[in-house]
Amino acid sequence: MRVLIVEDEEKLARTLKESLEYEQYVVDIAHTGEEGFFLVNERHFDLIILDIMLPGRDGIDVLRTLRKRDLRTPVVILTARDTIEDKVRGLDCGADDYLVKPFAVAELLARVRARLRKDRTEDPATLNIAGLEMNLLTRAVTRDGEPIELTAKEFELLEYLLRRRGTVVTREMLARDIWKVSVRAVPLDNVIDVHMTRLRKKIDQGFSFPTIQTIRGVGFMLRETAA
Amino acid sequence: MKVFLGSVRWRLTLWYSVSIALIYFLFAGCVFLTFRYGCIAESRMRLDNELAHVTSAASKDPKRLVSVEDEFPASNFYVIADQRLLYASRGWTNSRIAPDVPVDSDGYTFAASPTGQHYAIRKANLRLPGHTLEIGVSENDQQTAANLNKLLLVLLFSVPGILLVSLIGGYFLAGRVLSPVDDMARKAKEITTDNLSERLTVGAQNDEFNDLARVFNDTFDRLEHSFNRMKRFTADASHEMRTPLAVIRSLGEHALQKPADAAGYQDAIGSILEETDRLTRLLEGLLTLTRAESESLALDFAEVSPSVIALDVVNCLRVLAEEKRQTLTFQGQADLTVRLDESTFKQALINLVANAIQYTPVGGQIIVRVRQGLAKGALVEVDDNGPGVAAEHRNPIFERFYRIDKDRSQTSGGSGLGLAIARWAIGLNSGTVEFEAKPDGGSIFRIALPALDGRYVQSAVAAPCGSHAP
Repeated sequence: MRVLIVEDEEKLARTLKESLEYEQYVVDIAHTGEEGFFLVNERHFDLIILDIMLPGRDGIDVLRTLRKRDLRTPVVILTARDTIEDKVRGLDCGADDYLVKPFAVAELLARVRARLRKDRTEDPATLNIAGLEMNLLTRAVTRDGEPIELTAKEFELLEYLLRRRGTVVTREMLARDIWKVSVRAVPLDNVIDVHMTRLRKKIDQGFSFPTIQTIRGVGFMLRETAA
Repeated sequence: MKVFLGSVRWRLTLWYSVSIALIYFLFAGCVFLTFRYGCIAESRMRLDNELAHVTSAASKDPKRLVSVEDEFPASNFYVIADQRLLYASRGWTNSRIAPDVPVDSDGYTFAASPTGQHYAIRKANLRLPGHTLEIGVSENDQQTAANLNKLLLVLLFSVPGILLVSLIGGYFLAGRVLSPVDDMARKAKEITTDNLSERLTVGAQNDEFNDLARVFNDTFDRLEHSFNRMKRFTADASHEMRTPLAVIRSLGEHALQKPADAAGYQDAIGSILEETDRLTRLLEGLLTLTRAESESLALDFAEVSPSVIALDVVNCLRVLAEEKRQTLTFQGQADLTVRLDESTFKQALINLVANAIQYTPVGGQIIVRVRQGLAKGALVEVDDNGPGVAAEHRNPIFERFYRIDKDRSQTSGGSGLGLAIARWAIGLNSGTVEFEAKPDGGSIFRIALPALDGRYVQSAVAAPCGSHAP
């Protein structure tokens, strides 16, 4: 999978490149809109990460031209502006997703995965990791064969984590996708933490190793093995 | 011209001059007409006298007409009997006016003679037994006409003088009237952010200019107040931002100072990320509040039940109360409907309830109550039995970054923006939030929402109201 990053802030571009490369993507960087446009015409990319505020030709302009040329590559735009109008403008111009700076790299990776996986339908009846098994139809959860009682919220939380096992899930993603609160200025972190603590107590306490691991300052992650 | 009319002083002057000119024209017209009327009346009296003389002479004996002329050599008259000129005085003959000049119903007229002289004429018919005499008298009117002309000239020629005087006087007067405005403008120009506490001088009189000065002073009061708030806000905001920045910086420097193992570095990086998160959240809250003031938000108003949203919020935050072994209860009236943007209202209520949970001690009790308010509106109350809020903190409690514990300890968590955001979000929904201290300690935050177009809508859902205690 080949990804193009169009971003003028060099440090950010390099960090994103390394994070994506860690996830086995092949990454190219362009520092200006013009350069990005040139690279897109040069070779094929599976996804483009495009900053909107670029020196010279801005991201929206590049995106509009690409879409006019009937290029269907998924585009995730990055911007420091987060008013509703800006979002609508970006999406209207043909962007597939939108992230506001400062964003969690984990979230960007999740979005990139979601974009590239989109056509692959994956809907198993059971999810499992390291002896932890979740049946989505009967809603039964067991660890090492022992049944575990979960509340509706805890079940949702665990399902969300299991579907993204091996990758970091941020509190923002949880607030948005599970609590359906998209405004970041709402104090939901404590609520998420309490639920997470309770879930952990139920699925990890008394077992060989914790499946839910906290990545300090970023979020949570389900892992097969102890870190 | 435009330059002149642009200044109030010139406009006042012009109005003044126009008024003076109008008054003058009215006055001059009256003078001229009165004078003219007087002259005519006098001349008619003389003509009537003369006519009486001539008539009395003619009625006795036409021969005596000669003696009339001898008696009054200046008199002009003629007598016609039966279409035949009986007698014409020398004066009449000299004036060369035809005797058949038409007259008005009273028998008077004016005529100009072929010699260029102006005459007033009076005619009358005298009925004698057997025949009728037509008698006419005239008087040279030249002098009166000249006097009237002179008067007209004098009146017209004084117009420019009067206009000049009124313009100068008006300009001077307007200047005097407007001088308080100049003073005010000069003083107001001197007031800048450095001396915002200065005010315009208000005189003792209760006139319009002092009223204006008072209005300006009120405006300056409000400006000073909001400027001070802004100053305090900037100071608070920079403090709140500096703290996480300082932590990030020192953590980074400390981690670099001495070689550590992977766990040590991970710990430092984790802490740095946590502080970054705090900073992001703070920025987010500030942007929410400042954007509210400068931009329009896309709000989605719909008729909703505040009870449903409140119950949702209570259920969402219940775990927090459980952790502190608090009782979080919901008491609702399900058939209330108001017009709301659900997302902002929810945001406000989450902030209020989270605030109550945070400041109510372990084992406390919090009630979220939805009931009908005045004028069919809805009241949403967050009622706790916590320590309450001391009187001096009640007013500014909704200000950004206002904290009751002045040390701004981060242990209590929160950005200090929660209540400010709540008030902002409720304001977007045309509601108000107020604080009430309960007499036995504890506080109530009360949201008042306006009625649905003044009507009370009965919802079909008969959901059970009352307690939903966990």
